[in-house]
Amino acid sequence: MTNVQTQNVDKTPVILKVERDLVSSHSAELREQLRTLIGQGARNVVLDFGQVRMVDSAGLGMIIAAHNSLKKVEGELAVTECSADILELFRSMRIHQHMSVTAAGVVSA
Amino acid sequence: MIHVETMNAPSQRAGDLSASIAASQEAIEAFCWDFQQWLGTELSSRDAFASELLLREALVNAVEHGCAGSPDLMVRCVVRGGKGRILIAVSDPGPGFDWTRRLALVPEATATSGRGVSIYKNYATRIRFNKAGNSIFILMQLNRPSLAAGATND
Repeated sequence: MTNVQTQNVDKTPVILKVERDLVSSHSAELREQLRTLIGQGARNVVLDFGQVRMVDSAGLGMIIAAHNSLKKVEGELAVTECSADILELFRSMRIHQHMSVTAAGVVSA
Repeated sequence: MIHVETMNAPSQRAGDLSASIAASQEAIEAFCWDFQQWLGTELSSRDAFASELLLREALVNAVEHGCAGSPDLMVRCVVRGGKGRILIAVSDPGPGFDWTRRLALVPEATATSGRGVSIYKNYATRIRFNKAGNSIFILMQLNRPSLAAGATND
């Protein structure tokens, strides 16, 4: 489901390229991968959504759970390369008020 | 089991997509695939995304809550297209739930569940449940205004 491009501990960003839709059927795999990464010490995690077409409420819940876990250890979660539809979903659910969410082609600050 | 006549039926139908599917994630994915083929390429990306999202939420609720994930149980799905709108009806054999109370809930910002209702509210033009709460009817008007217009702190 995901391809870890870079892996490190502490504040070095770990970029996960999500390769499947983040929906009820598929979100467990990414949840487990994030749990493992955070357990290994990753604190800045970036989810690359360049190949994600759909996110449902289970996927949103998984993202919030990862965000909550990282916040507890003073880390951050960001989502990049979002399609216009997913960006609209995140904004309508106010997800963008809690983490960096950027559109496809936009470099995260 | 599904009372689509209680909704304003589209005057022009593009043909129904209907099936009874097993209460499993695999069956949800298969029906959503059929739905994507049924939609074709005429809809805007926004409408295609929104309608599939609404369908997924209804199916996941029926499978996970109505059928408690038991693949021996069946979920009935009907999708109907018409002039400028899509109707989705999903029914499960479960006991239903108190949808009036559920619809009033707003998830906390850090809550990891409960956003399905928010998706219904934001993306559907109209939703109705039967009295028992085990059938949902969703009407989505096409070419809806942007959801992000009401969002703040962009």
